[in-house]
Amino acid sequence: MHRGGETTGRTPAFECVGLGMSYTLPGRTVEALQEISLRQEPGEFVCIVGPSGCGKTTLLKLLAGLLCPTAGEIRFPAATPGGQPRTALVFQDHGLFPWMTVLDNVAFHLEAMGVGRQERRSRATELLSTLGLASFADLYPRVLSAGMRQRAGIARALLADPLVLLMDEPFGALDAQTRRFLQQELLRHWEERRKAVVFITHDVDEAVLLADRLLVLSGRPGKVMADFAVPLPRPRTPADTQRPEAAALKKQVWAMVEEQARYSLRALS
Amino acid sequence: MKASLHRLPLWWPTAALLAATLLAWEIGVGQGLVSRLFFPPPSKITAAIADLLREGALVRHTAATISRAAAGFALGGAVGFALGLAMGLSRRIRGALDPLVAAIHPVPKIAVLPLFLVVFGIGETATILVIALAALFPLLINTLTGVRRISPAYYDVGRACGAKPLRLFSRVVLPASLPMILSGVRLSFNLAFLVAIAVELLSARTGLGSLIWQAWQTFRTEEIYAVLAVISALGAGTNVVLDRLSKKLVPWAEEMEG
Repeated sequence: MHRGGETTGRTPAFECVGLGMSYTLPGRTVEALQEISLRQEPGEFVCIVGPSGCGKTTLLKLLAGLLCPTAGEIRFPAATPGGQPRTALVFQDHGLFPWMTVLDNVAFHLEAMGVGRQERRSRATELLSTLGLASFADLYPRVLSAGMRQRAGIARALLADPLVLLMDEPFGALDAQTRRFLQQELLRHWEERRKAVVFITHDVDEAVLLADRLLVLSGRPGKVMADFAVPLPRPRTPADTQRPEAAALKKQVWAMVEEQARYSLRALS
Repeated sequence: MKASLHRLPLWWPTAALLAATLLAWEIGVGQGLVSRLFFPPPSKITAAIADLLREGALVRHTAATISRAAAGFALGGAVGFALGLAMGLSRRIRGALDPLVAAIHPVPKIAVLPLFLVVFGIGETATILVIALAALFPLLINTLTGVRRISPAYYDVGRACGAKPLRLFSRVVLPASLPMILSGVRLSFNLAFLVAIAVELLSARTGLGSLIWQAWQTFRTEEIYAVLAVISALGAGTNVVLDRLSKKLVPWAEEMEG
């Protein structure tokens, strides 16, 4: 097993110990995740790649508190002052409510935290302005392009200012151009705030561009197969992923993912 | 020619068709081609409406019908809405009430009137309860369907943002099911109006239904047509109002269902 992230003396953003998740279906039990032990430093950008159906989304839902693990536990040892949420989740399909305007959607996490109407609206307006989305504030999501919707979905999570930002293949459904643009926008934001991010993707290039640490999950049941440190300096540009050390890492990770995918396919048939 | 046609409002074919029919009717009766007794000419029907208005009968009976329909709708609709929400949100309540709904829903509610008359006596109570019973089901079923059809993803979004159950209800469940609920409101109100008139035909001394019945008994055909025209106008007017209301309450929907 490859070890990238070295344990430091700092309080981690979160840690999972022996985390496991299984679903009971009629007549059988499906094990989605097994023995996940993971520790993330504050300010660390972690990307998780793995074959489809390996439980990546399940892991994120566990971290977001949407599911309860059937084994092990997740700990958030750091104090979260002033009602700061532990996590905020960016959904694959933007997760905006069609019945709320963009502004109300972006402010919704704050609303659920109990922030007053005036304050949350002014904070949401301010963030929308810095993202260049101010003119969309009063529109409903359905009139926005896919890229704009996803930016609003990300804005909602950023505005909540969580301890750990969770992102579930946020750019997976976008066209290549938009994806590239949003990756760079995300990197700029992360450089400013240095928040702990867990980012799920099936795109190894994307993972290498964004991550400090790159975890590879195995096919079902998902286990952490490898934990690489991405050997690229910050701040990064897409050109950096062409460097020989990045190319070597990509090649290695692709090989692992492909092997896992082949293995899962065989297991299915 | 084509360009000028396109500048006319969308409803002009309807208006033209209606005008042509009324004109042909009027001329047909005048020429003796159509029975004056069964199909009194539009001019006579209009005169009958004017007479009824002058006597104050039309306003009085219309008010009676609308207040019955509204009372029945309010009562039945409120119960149907509450039950629909409860059944939509709780599997246990749904399991308990589903067979009951399935058993009562298909019964024509007007058939229950004699039973209500026995139990509550002749009067407004029985009438309004029958209307309420009729209005209950469309709203119950639409609310239930609306709540059940909410994508689980929306609950995930709400909960991932840390929303508590009460906020999930007010910000997710209600707005997400609102389009279905509003189309249920429309169905329920139309049914309340319909059943109100049916009950009046059978047992009331006031209301548009009773007015039709009296006109039949005295063989004033033009008055039957006059009241039918008023009922049709009221129904159409109500639907326009409810449609506007829906568009105002659900500005985010591309198209209303139902």
